[in-house]
Amino acid sequence: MKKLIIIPAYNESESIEKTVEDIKKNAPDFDYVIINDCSTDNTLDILKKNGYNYVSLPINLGIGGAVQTGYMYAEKFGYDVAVQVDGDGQHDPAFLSVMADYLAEHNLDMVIGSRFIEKKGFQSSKIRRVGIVYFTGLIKLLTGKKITDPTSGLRMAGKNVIKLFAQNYPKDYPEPETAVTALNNGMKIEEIPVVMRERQGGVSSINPTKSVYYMVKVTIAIVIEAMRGKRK
Amino acid sequence: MMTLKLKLIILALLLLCLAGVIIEVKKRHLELKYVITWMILPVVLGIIIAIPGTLEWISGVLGIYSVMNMVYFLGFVFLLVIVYSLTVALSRQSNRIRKLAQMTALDEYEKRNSN
Repeated sequence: MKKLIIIPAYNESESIEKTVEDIKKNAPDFDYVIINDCSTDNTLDILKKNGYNYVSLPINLGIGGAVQTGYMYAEKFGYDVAVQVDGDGQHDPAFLSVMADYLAEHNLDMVIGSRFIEKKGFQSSKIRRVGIVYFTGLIKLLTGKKITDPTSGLRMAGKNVIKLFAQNYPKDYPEPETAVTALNNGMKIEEIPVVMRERQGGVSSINPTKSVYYMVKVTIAIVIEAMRGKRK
Repeated sequence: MMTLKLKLIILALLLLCLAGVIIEVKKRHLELKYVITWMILPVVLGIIIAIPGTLEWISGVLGIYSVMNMVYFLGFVFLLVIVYSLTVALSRQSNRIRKLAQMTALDEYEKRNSN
């Protein structure tokens, strides 16, 4: 099984080396590709210096565009499985084999690593949790499927979902919307419990104003996405 | 004073407007990010027009005698805001396209000269 780790990175000079070395050590059976989203700090220099495998975007596309580039890479080079691991060190690569095995065993199209099934490890701030519960409810209402961690970036996609995401991926705040897109295209999605760590360095790109925009935009996007109807 | 007839016509138009925009987003002809204003606007306007007394209250707050004049004025202001934000987005896009063209050209140079 050809497996790929997509590492979107924007100004992650503080944590990218640690993240990549962690992956090389704990998930040696996975290939990786770093998608440098036109970082303005010296992230690119660090990638070159260490000889890491990377794709460097000529303009900044945001997390959606960067991750979609990763899915296009996965489709182009024929990967069976692609998983997103954020460049800020929040995702623990130890869970990747577990996710891959789970995906293969249960013949799934996508596996999401959820922080909230066993509630261990970094649980995110209270405010974010309210938002997350809201999206869980909304997605359940629209698709009938309960996803406990719809904003989790730790998600593993099989060949069908790789193809789907390579063609269609939201520009920003992609996680809840893409879960609905996948569900509406008849993809089989399951979650397994994972433990996430706090951000290992650098600064999160989400602030209060953006949060309001996020809630409104993603809600509308999810509703419209659900309107596209179920396709098998 | 806005007649009931006019209010109903406007509400129907706003609904068509909203439906049209949603359909275009669904067909992926429009990017959701830029279209949110066009979605929120009919909803807000619909509420203002539907709830009796709101139009008159806003006119009072702004110091405008005629409700219809207030509607035109605010409509104009909102349009200006939307057009301006589009101008900003357009400027940004043109810069990004320029950068893409330049980098593609430099990449092609590199490829051509590495043979």
